[in-house]
Amino acid sequence: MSSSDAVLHRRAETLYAEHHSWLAGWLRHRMGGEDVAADLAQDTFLRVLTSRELPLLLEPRAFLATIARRLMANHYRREAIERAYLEILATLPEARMPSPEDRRLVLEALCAIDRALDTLPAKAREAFLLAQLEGMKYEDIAARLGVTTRTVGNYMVRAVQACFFAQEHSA
Amino acid sequence: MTRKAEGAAMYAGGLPLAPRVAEEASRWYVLFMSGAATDEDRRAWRDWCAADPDHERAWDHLARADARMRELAGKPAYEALSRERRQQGRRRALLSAGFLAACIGPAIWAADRNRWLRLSPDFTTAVGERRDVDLPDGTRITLNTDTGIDVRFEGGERLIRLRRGEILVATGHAAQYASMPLRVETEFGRVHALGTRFSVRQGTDATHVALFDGAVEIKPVGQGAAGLVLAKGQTAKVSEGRAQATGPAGEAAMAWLRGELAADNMPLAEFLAELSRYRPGVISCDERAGRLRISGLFPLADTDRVLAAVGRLLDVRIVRRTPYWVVVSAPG
Repeated sequence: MSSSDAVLHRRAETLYAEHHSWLAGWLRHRMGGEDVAADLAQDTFLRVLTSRELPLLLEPRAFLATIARRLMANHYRREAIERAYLEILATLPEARMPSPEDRRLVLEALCAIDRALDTLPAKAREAFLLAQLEGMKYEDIAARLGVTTRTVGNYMVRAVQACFFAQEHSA
Repeated sequence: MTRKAEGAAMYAGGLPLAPRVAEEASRWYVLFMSGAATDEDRRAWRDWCAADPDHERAWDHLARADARMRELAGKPAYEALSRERRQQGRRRALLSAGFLAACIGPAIWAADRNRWLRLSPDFTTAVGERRDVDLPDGTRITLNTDTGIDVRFEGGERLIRLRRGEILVATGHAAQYASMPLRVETEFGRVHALGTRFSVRQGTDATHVALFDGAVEIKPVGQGAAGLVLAKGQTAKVSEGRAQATGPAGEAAMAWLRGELAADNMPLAEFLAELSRYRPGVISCDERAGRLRISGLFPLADTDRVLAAVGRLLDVRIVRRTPYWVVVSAPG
């Protein structure tokens, strides 16, 4: 371990010792005492401790809360997507039900797409989903969203960049 | 920390990509998707691809992302992402406003390895098939029979996930990938390559690694599991939480690359289990036949001929119940 590693390590330890139980409590309070609060507190520290650099923090609790809020939002999004997905699956005939493993993979991928498209305006998002997942033609998407075909093309270009090229920088 | 797509770093094949190139590639992609592309467009697109290796890399990346997306396509996937958005839009907007206001820290680096998880592997071979796959960094992977791998160049590493079967990896040395470590991942552990040629085979309860050149480090899954650095010409077995050396690599470890099955005084049961990897269906043998020993080099291209050879070399009876069910027994 190099000396800068050692400094980082000590800093991380201090952060954990001084703020872990506070963060767990903060999350429990916001999530109505759900068990998952403890996991998210753990995940928050994991993000911080595995990041490439750990800055000297003036407001460590605000910093931790920022990350925890993002993880909490992701958690609820994931639950909502999962619920919607399972509801649709429940309407399918049994023979077409994907295996639990396939369902898990699909959910992972859906959540990733969801996060990637998070930055786009609602219509661009919808255009991308209709084209990519429903296989709809651009003219039909244009009619449905009440925009020109050209606008659909512009939405698509933005969405393709966000979804296929942009790298995620935070959880 | 920003949530904007504009200004976000662009990547293709694990390496940074100029935003301009990402946008151009996206425009071509959207043009082709729209169905409005003309022959002239297609010619212009080919010129664009050929004009710059980065263009080609961007297009390659898009084509693969597109293939992954197609596997998801369908009503349930669309509904899951679209319907709940309409229901949740408001609450979410509030959440992100609060989030942005509180944003103070630097970007937290956390590569999402599962970003483009897909249902079927990126590269596969059928039973009896063998195939080479060349990666952009110059690495060549040879897939043995009934094998599936995923390739991810992102998050600062070159990751090859062996889902099933067996591969030989000859690592490439393209300069721009020099700082990205190359790893092979299986259910049981990770093999970290240090300029090298090695094979990895996935079994039901362990992963088998054989090293032919260079060096590799093996890390079994499980907290606190000890790693193992393998020397040239040696083999190792990786199971749950444990990596152990298993002696020198024999002829058999390399023979499949030439399309052969090598046996050196091998129990027939083991030999037939090997052979059945290369042919559809089941080969079963009784206990007495299974204990007989066999030696030789056998061509894998025609497994029926190998079975016939077994019948000549050893005192066994070979019965084909169906083309997919072969029974080998010692005469009683």
